Amino acid sequence: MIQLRHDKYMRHPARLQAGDGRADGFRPGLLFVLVFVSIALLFLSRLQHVYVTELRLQLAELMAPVLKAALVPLEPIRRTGQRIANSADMFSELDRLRAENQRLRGWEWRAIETERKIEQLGRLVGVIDEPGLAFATARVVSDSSGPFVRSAMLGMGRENGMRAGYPVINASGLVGRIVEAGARVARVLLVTDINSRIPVQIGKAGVRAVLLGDNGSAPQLGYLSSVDTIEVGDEVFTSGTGGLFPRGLRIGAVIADGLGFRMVPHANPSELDFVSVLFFQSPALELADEDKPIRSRSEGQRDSVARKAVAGAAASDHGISAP
Amino acid sequence: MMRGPNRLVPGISVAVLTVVAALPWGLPSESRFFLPLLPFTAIHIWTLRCPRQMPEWLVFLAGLATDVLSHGPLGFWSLVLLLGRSLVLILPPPQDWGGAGRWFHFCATLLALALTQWVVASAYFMSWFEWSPLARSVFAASLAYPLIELLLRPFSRSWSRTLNPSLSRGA
Repeated sequence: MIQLRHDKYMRHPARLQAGDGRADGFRPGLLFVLVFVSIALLFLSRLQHVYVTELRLQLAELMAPVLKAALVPLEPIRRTGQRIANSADMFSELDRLRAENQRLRGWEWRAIETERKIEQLGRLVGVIDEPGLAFATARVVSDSSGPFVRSAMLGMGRENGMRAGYPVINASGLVGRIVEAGARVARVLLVTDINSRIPVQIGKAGVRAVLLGDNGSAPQLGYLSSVDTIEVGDEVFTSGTGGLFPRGLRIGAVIADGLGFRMVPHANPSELDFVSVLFFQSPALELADEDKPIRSRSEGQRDSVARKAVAGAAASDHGISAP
Repeated sequence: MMRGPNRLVPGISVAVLTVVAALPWGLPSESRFFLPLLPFTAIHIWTLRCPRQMPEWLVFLAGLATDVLSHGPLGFWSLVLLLGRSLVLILPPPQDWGGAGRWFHFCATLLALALTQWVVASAYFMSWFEWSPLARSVFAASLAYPLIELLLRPFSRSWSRTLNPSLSRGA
């Protein structure tokens, strides 16, 4: 008899432990309070309340060491996955790279020639060289998931010179910009996020537009100044309008949409590993970075990091023109 | 009632799955929707096994951590996971259902949670949210459930022995 009771008890303890025979551990009072707190937090998040932002940053900083530690065993798994994916289309990729290499050799000669001409003309009119952009390289420690945002968390923060508003790039192009910077972590809003709005120029004609993120993989190109001169495959660059981004950062290529034009980013948001944060100074940054006391404290640290970074290398690697 | 270190197993398993869900796996954004549901698989398993070791506040904290790590608005996953736990407690699977029954129950709960996510996300954005990524996340999470249950089974067995030592002695 006891044996039977224990068997039943073990198989369905959730039903049988409580006095009512159904819901042990079900405390409606506490549940109501927690649900209320959740809804209140959700509401405050929607309003982008400063306390919620602070709380999020503090919690993220607490969890950052755990995420960094968890990345260590993940790395071999990711590499193996990438190798399998790469080996599947290795031959077609090789053919494509050969053709691209041939094409780029022609462009290399033209670029050297153009550079020489610009230098000569610059000397003639006495142009003072713009200083290059300093940068720091950071690792992505976590990706966003779920219906709300497209962002990534970096394992570096204000202690390393990060600041809200700084553009973030990788080898392929613009990734996004920092929107929240804590002491040791920073959150990057990706170009695909629904809140992302970037003034851009398209193609050789330099058609002005605004890149509108919509949480999809290919953001929309809106507010086009001219539609006739845009072609599928045209390169999309930052225009520098508004001062948040330097002019000339490559972002992606135009694709046709049934209703208009969209852009496929060169930087694949799902394959972010290491990214470079550009220490781009502009008056608009004062508006983007609202944490003034912390900023002034870390100003010296940022400058020292910036000095250590290889100035100008990012600009030349990523095709940045003078801001 | 779990004793000693076993008492920590449910909380630790939920915490580990929360961290796993946040790591950059290289998946496209639309395919990452199922990752925050991974902690819920452990919550489902442990709420059925030992509800007292999976209290509301622990589920709330797991949700809050998921919110922070998934970069979503605070409170969203806390709300969804609390609802999930309540559903498991109020409408548990019938006693004579085995492992397949638990899996079926999990899938049904997931559907309810996906519907909640869709409603909350639509209200948050003030426009109808696209449902297809959520549907795919339900499918992916339902496939992950048997695997996670298999991984947690050794801990679950040790819990059973703690619960009823006489059975483990063969009494």
